[in-house]
Amino acid sequence: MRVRHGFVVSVFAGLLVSAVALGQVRSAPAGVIPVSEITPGMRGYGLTVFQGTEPERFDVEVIDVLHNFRPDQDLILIRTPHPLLDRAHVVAGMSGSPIYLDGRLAGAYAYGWPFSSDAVAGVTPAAPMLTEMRRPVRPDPFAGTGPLAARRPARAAGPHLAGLPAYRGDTPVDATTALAAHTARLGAVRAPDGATLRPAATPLLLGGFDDAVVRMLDAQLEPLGLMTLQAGGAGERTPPPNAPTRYVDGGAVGVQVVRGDIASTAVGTVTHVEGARAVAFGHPMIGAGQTSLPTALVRVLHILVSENRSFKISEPVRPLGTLVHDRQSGVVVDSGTRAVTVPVRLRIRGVEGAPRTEWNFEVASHRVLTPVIMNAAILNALTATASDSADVMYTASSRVWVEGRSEPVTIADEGYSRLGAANPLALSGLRLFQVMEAIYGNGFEVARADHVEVDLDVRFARETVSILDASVPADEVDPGSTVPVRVVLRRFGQDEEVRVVPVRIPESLAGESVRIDLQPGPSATIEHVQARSLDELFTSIGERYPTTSMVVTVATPSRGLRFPGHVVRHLPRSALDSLQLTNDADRARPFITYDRHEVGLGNVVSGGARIELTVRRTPR
Amino acid sequence: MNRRSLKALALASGSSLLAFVSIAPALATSTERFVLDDAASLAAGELERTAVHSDGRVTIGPGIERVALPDEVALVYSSARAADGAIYLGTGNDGKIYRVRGANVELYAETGQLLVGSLVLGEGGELYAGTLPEGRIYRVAPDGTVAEVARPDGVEHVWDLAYDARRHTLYAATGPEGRVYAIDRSGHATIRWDSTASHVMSLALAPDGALYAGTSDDALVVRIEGDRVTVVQDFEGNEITALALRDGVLAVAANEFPDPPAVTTAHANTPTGPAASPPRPRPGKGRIWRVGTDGRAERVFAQDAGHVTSLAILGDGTIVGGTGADGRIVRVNPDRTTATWIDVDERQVLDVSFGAGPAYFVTGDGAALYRVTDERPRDAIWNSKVLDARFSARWGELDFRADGNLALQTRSGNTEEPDETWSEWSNELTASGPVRSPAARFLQVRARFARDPDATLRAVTIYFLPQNQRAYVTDVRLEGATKAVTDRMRAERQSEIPDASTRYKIAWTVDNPDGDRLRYRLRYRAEGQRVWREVLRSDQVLTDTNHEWQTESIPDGWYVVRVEASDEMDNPNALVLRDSRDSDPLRIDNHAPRVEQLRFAGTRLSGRAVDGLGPIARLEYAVDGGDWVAFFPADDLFDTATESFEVDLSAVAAGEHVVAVRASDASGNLGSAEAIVRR
Repeated sequence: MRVRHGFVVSVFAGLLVSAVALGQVRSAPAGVIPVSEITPGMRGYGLTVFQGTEPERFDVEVIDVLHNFRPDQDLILIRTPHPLLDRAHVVAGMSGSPIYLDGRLAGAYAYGWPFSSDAVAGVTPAAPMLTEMRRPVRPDPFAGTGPLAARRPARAAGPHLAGLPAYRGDTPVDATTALAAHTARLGAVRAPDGATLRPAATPLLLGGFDDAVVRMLDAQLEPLGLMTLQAGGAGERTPPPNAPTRYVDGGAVGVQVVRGDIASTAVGTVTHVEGARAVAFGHPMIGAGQTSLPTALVRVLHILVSENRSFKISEPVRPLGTLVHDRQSGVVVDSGTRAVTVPVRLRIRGVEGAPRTEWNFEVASHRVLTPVIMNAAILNALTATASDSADVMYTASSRVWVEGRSEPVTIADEGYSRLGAANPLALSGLRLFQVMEAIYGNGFEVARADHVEVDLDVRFARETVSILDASVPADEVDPGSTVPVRVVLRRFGQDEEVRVVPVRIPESLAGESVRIDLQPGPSATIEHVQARSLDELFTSIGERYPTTSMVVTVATPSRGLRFPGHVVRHLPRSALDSLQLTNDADRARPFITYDRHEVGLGNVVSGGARIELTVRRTPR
Repeated sequence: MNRRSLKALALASGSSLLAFVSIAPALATSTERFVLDDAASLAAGELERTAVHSDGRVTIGPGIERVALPDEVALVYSSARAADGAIYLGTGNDGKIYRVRGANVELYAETGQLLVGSLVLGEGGELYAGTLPEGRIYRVAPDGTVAEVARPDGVEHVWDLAYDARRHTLYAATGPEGRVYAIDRSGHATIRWDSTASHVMSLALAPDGALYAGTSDDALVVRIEGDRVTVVQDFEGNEITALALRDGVLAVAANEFPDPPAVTTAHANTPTGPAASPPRPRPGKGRIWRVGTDGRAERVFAQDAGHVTSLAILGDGTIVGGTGADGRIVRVNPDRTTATWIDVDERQVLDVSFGAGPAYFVTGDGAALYRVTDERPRDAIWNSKVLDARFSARWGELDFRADGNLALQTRSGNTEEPDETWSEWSNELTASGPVRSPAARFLQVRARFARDPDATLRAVTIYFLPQNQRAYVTDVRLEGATKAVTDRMRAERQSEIPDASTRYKIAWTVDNPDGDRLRYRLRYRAEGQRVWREVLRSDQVLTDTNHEWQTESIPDGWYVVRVEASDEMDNPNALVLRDSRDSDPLRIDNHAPRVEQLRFAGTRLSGRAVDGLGPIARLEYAVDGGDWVAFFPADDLFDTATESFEVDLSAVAAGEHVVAVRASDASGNLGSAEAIVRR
C-alpha cells in the first residue's frame, strides 16, 4: 500500500516536472527570481532612464501575481511609488524597464491601465523574455537582414510575415493593405477601455512630419499599440562623442522605422543584456515575429507627464543592431547585425518656389511598415511643398530597384486630385505600393527592395474629361455589324463634345442581348496571367489601361482561362472543356471574355456610361 | 404487380439515342432483376479491352498499348505521324512537342506557348505547329529547332493545320475571327476564308486541293476551292470539332454544347486563400455525320453524353471517332452498325489516327499515347456499371447468355463507387448460377474473356430481393368542406361557421421508399374510448390516400381517426410491414340546436338555444319573413351549448307579428322556432 502510494506521488511529481518544463513554472535562470517566489508586499526596484542615457532606480512593491495572463505567461502587478510616476502613472517608453526583487531580475515593466489613477503596472516575468532572447534567428528569414543567400526557387521562399498570405497580384493593394491585414490578424483593433490591461504604449517619435500626416499615421498605427508623437525622433546625423556604445539593463532603446529627412523611432527600455543580445519592451512592438528592423541607442530628454498620456521625449543617438524578434513577451535586439534599410529619394517637380523639392530617407525594410511610412513620407513631402487645396494633375514615376536585378521596376501613375496633391486618397493607390507588396509578399522568392526613387510631377490644372452619356442609333443590331456608339464627353472648362466610337458586335452574340460599357481605363479589368515568378508579377502590375483612356467593353458569351504564365481568351467550348482538367481546376481559372477597344482621350477620364442592345438572331 | 421506375444508366449507343438498364419486376412477388441486354446497358460500365456492339454483343476488343508521358504534360491535343513511324505529340499546358519512337518518349521542341493545338508534317521532315494563345505558327526542323513561320493579325488560336504538298502551302484554321489562312514557304499569310463564325476548328484537304473547313459557334462545313466557298451543310449543333476525308467520303463531328457555366469572382484567387473550384463545363452532345460522294449527309452516330473530338476513316469506309467525356473510341461500320470499340481511363480521346500506318490515339485529362495493336488482348474484361438495388438486397440467380467459354464474377458493397469496403470478386461462374456476393445495395458484374477470346456475351440478368421498406404515414388531415377541428392556437371568428355536412374527407400523406402498392385501413374511436371501430368494410380495399367518411350514424362527439398503411399487396405475409398515424381529434356534430322557451314580454322576446355538443355559434331573428338579423346571447359570448337570449323588438311596428329565431351550432347545424307577438 505504501509502495503504491509512493508510486502515485512519484507519477504526480513527474507530471509536475513536465509542467515545469513545458509551462510557465519553468525554472528561472540564475539571477532571476521565479514567479513562484514572488509574494504580495515584496519590495524591490526598477531601472529606467528618466533623463540622459544612464538608468536610474525607482522603487516597486508587489501587489500580487496574475496567473496565465497571456498563454503560458503570468503577470506581476506592482506599485511604483515615485514622485514622477505617482503623477505620470504609466509612462510610454518605460516598457521593458527591468524590475528586481530580492536582488534578482523579476521581469519587465510592460502593462498598464490606460486611465488608471494609480501608479500600478504589470510586469512580464523574466523567464519567457530570456527564453526569447536566446531564440535563434533563422538564416535570411525576411527581406531585411544581412546579405541574402542564393536565390531560392519558386514556392520555397521563407516566411514573409506570420499569417499574411502570399501576394499573387490578383487584387489591387494600397499602402495600408498589408497593415490592415496584419492588424486584423492580430485582432489588435480595441476600443479604449479603462478596465483592460494593455501594453504600455510604445511611443513612436516622429520628426519632420506635418501635423496632418501625424494624425494619419496615428490612426493607422494606433491599433498596433504605437503611440505617434511629434517629438523629434531623428537625432543627430552623427553620434555625439559621449553617446553610449552598447545596450545596458534599464537603458533606452529605439527602433528606427525611418531616418533621414524624416525620422521615426519607437522607444522602449532594455530589460536585460546578454552578450550581443538584449531583450526589451516586455511586450510585442507590432507582433511581427522574427523580423529585421534597425535599432539605436536612445537619449531621453524628458519625461512629459500628462493627464492624457505620459511619455519619454527622446531621440536616437547611435544606430546599433537589429530587432530580430518581436514576440509576446518582448522584443530582442542583436547588436551584432545590421538591418538593411531601403533608401528612398523623392523628388517633386512642377511647384515653383517650393522651399524643398527633394527628400531622402531610409525606411525599415518591412512588409507592413515600409509602404505605410513611404506613403506618409510622400504625403508629408507634398504637404510641405504643395499643400494647396486646388486642382492638381500628377504623374508619379516610381522606380524600384530589387536586389539581384539590374533594371528597376518602373511604374508610372497619373491622375487628378481635386483636393490638391497632398491627398491621401489619391496617393495611397499608387502602384508603387503594389510593387512593394509584390517584393515583400510574393510567393516565389525572397526579394528585397534595394532602393526606391519616386519623381512626382504636379501641375495645378484640371485636365479631365468626363463620360456623360452614350447612345446608339437603334436598340436592335445585326450580329457581326459595327455599331456607331455616340459618346458625349465634357472636358473641364469646355463645351460638350461628341465622339463616335465604332464597336463591332460579335457574330457569336446572335440572338442575345449585349451590354456595352464605357469606362475610364483603370476601371476596365484586365485578365492577367497567373504569375509564375516575381518578374511576371511585376509585369501584371504594370498592365493597366491608362487613366487618359476610355475603354469600350463588350461582354461576349465565350469564356477564357487564366493559366500560370498564359491567358487564353475566346475559347470554343470543346477546348474550354479540354483545358479544364477534372482535378486541376486550380490551375485554369475561367473568366468571361470581353472585347475591348481603347480610345485615348488625352485627359484623365472619369464618369462612365452603359448601353444595352438586342442582337438579332440573323442579320436583316 | 408493382411497376418500378426505370433507371437510365448509359447513353452510348449507335442510332438509338437512349437506352436503359432495366430494373424489372420478376415473376415472384417482390423479386426484381437487373437486365443488361442491349448496347446501352452493356456499354455503361468499364470496358477493358472489350467492345460493345450496337446489336448488344460484347466481344473482345482490339489490343492497345499505353505510352505514358511525363507527369507535367496535362493533355495531348494534337498529333502527327512521320513517314519513319515517329509520332509527334502537341501538348499543353506548356506548349511542348514530344516525339515518340517505339517506347521512347522525348521532348522534341518547345514553343513557349500554352498549347500546341495542331500539328502537321510538311516537306523534308519539317513539322508545323499551330499554337495558342498568341496564334503563332512554328516550323520545327528535323533537329528540333523551332522557328516562327507566321502570326496572322488578330489570330489567337490555331486549331488545325493542313499541308498541301503540291502547292507548298500550309493552311491554318484559326480563331477568334474564324478565318482560314494560306501560308506560303516564306511565311506570308493570306486569308482564304473569312467566316462569320468565331472559330474555324477543323480542316480536311482533298486530293484535288479542295479544302473542307468546319466552324464554331455555328456548325458549318464548307468546301473551299480557289476563291469559291460552298456550304456542304449547316449541321445541327454549334461546333464542328473534326473532319476526316477519304475516297470522297467526308466524316463530320458535329457537336452541340450547352452554355458554359457562370463565372463568379469566387473562382478567382483571392489574397486570403485558395479560390473555390470553378464549375466544369457540362458535356456536349456528339454526332457523327457521313457525307457521301453524292453529297448526301447522313447521321450515323449520336450520343447525348459527350461530344466527338476527332475522326478517322478506315480503308473499308469504317469511321472511327474519339469521344470527349468518357475516353472512348467508337466505330461506325459501313453497314451503319456501331460499336463502343475502345475504352481507356483518361477522360478525353483528343486525336485519332487510323489511316495509313499503325493506328494510335492520344488523350487529355490524363495525357497518354495509345497504340492500337494487332495482337489480341490476353485478358479482356467486360465490367458492368455499378448496379443499384436502391436498398440492401439479397442476390439470387445470375443468368447470362453467351457463346463460348466466359467466366463471370460479381462483387457487392454499400457505396456507389467500389472501394475497400466492397467484397472481393466472387469465384468465377462459367454457367448461370447463384450470385455468391454478400447482400448489399450495390452489385457489379464482370465477364472475363481470358479462356476464350472468341467468346461473345449477349445478356446478363441478375435477380434480387430488396429488403422490404416500411411505408410511413406522415400526415393525416381533413380536407374540403368539413366540420374540421381547426388549429386551436389560432384565433377564430365564431361567425366562420362551416356548412353543415355529415361527410368528412380524410386525406393522408405517405412516405413509401420502395414504391410498394399500399392498402389503407381506417379506424375511429371516440376520445376517451379504447376500442377502435372500422370505417371501411372488411372487403373494401382502399388504395387512394383519401376517403370520404359518412358520419350520419355516429353520435355527436369528439373522435380520432387512425390511418394504417400496409404493403401486403406486394409482399408475402411474413415480410409485410405496416405503419399507422392518428388524426387530431375532430368533432362530429350532426344534430341541430333547438330554440325553445320563446316568450314575449313588453318589447322583448326571450328564449334559449340548446345544442347537444355545442357551442352555439350564431343567433338570428326575422320578423314576418323578412331578413335575418343577427343578435348576441344574454352574456354576449357564443361559448356554450346553451345560450339564453333576449331580443329587443321595440322597433317593430305595433300589431301582430310572426318572429322566427334560429340558432347555428359550431358545425353549421341549424335549428329554429317561431313565436307570434303582439305589440
